[in-house]
Amino acid sequence: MAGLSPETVDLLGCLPIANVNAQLVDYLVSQERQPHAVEFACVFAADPFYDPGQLIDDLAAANVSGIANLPSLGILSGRFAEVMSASGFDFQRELQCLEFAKRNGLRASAFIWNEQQGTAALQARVDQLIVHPGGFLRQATAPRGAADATVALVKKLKDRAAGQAPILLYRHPVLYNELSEAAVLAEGTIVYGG
Amino acid sequence: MEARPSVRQHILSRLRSSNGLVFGAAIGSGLTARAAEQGGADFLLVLSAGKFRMAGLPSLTCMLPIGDSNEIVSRIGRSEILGRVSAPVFFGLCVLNPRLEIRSRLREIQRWGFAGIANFPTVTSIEGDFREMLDTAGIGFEREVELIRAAREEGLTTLVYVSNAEEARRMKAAGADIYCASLGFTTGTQTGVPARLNLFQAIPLIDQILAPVRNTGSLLLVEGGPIVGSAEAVQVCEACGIHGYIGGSTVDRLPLQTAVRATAAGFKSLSASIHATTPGGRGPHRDRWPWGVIGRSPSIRQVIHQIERVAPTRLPILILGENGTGKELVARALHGASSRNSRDMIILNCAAIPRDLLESELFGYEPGAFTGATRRRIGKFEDAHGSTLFLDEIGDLEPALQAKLLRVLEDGRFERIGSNVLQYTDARIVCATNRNIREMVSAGLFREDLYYRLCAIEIEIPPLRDRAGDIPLLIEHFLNEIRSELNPNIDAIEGDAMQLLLSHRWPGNVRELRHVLERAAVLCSGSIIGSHDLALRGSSDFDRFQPAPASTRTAKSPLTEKEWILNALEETHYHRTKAAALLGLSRKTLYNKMLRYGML
Repeated sequence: MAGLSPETVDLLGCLPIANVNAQLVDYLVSQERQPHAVEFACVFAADPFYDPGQLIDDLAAANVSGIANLPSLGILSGRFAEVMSASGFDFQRELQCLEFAKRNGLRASAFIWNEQQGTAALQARVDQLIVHPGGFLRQATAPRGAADATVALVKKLKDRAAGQAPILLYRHPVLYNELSEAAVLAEGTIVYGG
Repeated sequence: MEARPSVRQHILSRLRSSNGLVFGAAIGSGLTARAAEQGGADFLLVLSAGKFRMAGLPSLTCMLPIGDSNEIVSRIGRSEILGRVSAPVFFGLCVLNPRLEIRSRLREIQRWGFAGIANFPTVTSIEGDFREMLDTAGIGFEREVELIRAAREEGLTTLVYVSNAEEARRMKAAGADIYCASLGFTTGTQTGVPARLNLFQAIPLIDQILAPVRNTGSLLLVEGGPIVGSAEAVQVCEACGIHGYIGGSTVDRLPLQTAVRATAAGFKSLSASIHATTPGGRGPHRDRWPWGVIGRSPSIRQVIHQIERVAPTRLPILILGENGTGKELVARALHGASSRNSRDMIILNCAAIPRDLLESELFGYEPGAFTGATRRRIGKFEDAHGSTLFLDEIGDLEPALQAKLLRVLEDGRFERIGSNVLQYTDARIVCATNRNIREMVSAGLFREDLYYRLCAIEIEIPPLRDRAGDIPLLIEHFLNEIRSELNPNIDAIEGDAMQLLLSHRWPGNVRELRHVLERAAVLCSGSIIGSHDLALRGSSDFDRFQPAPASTRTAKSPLTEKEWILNALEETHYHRTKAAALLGLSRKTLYNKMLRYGML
């Protein structure tokens, strides 16, 4: 993905051009790491081919201590999201994988795109929520509005979580400056590593 | 300048000359590819979706980041399909990866022996913000347009999935050869995808999508959405006037070789049967059903032809047919197509009126003619003066009345009961019966002279079991009526239910079909009629169906060998083994003959 813009990388992760989980595990296994050197591995948590038990084992063997759902079906909307969900591929399926990982000793972080997903993630008792500011298109055309919406979402989820889990912010590079207010409000930020 | 135009043109020419509708099988394994080809698929489209289906996943998992779609297709195509089939093979090429060098990949594909490419997995499946983001990032539809442009320049045949008119327009500008109107992932309970539109809503949508590329000489196909089987596909193709269908999950939903072959064969046989009877061959078939007589089978077209020929005359007509075949409908058609249609047709069911009243009903009476005849009453013959008198169940007419009817038929003269004054009627007489009138004549139960007066023009309506190819058209018609009269929520019929309807013997004919659908529509809890909603009289197992003796079949007008085979296929509901047995051929000989006549 080197050389591609962050927004393109965001999208490509969701597309059928690679087996993202297999690539990630191969990469992690190929690196020599200290125990728990990688705090969170971002996986496609609705992978129908990668048995969650096997995935957890493979990640643990690569000294990973936690997982997060990225790329995520949570970014989808409209009819496409509807048909995916009807076939069993949706954000809820990802949450089930995170819950499973948590039960098996890994920490679970949930990327969320809206209030409904945030509420579901809290109910699933994940360890932390990461508010994703959404599609870059909306941000590019109305950055202020997107930033304000993110602030509102962080506020709501903080209230709802009431200390149960920290609410973090994915400070997306496309909207980095506009997200300063949300970053102050959030209980931590994740930045794009390139 | 195109590098290899002749290969592309050869493939397109082969597809255009396909017997019946073009059928493309979207598959994901060598097994299904060979089965689809054996079943008559005109071309094969290797898709990662097919591979996932073989693993028990729905087609739409091909959109997930769980594999490199192009590598999957390449591996299957090269190791399992190319060199093992003779049908053209298309590569479902995904260009969402900006790192993909389109030109070099196209050259590889061509070198491997693929006949063409399709834009699949495609962004046309995606809607909403995500689609907009892909387009804005330059990895959306524009890149698929670029793919088609490049593929054309490399001399590959190009098949494009489009979901709206604008996409079709842009692909047209890129020079695409074959257009597939994508209705989205196949819906239905088996796939889990909720239905967005039913078959009848799909038809105008397909028209809309393909409008920019109609009349361009391109092949126009359809896939997905509510089309869950060959019967629906043929129905939609016929209604939209397009050339064919691409079957994906509808072909290999069950990963069984026989199921794939049977599905493909069902589509080709059904479409071949319909096209063999459609004047003008392929192309739009938008004619409304003449006189409400629905069907395109040879036998029903013969009925329509007879109606058109004899309606303008004054000749009496005898309509023969089992109960429920539509004898009154044909009588109305004869009246409607005649110059007498400004007046209502008069109908009398001879079996429904007590015998002692029938004469007065027909001829009328004068006051005092019999007890209770206090005033003059004119009968049906006078009533029908200048119009048409339809006498149903004529076989139930008693001999004395048969003689009086003969006289009216001879010169239009008769007397009212209780009168010696001759009356004259210019009624055109149309009679009908479900009884074997010839046997009644032999048995002395029906006057021979009356029979010969009536049988100068005989219209025989075939039973529904002998024109199974018309069943999808009848279902479409009845569902339209049922939606407006009984249950507006009914969207479609599931594939297995359609198969059941196609294989039923229909002792009650079209009337029974209508009643079965009405009952199903009332009892159906959802919007799609399933097999469990159908209550079919007797057994639906057509293994018990005993075909008529060969002597009675061959007594009909001579058929060409191709028609003979088509009739047998239709009679056995496209079961080749049964058709071969019916024809007295081995299965292999039947297969060879079908191959020779382009029926595969």
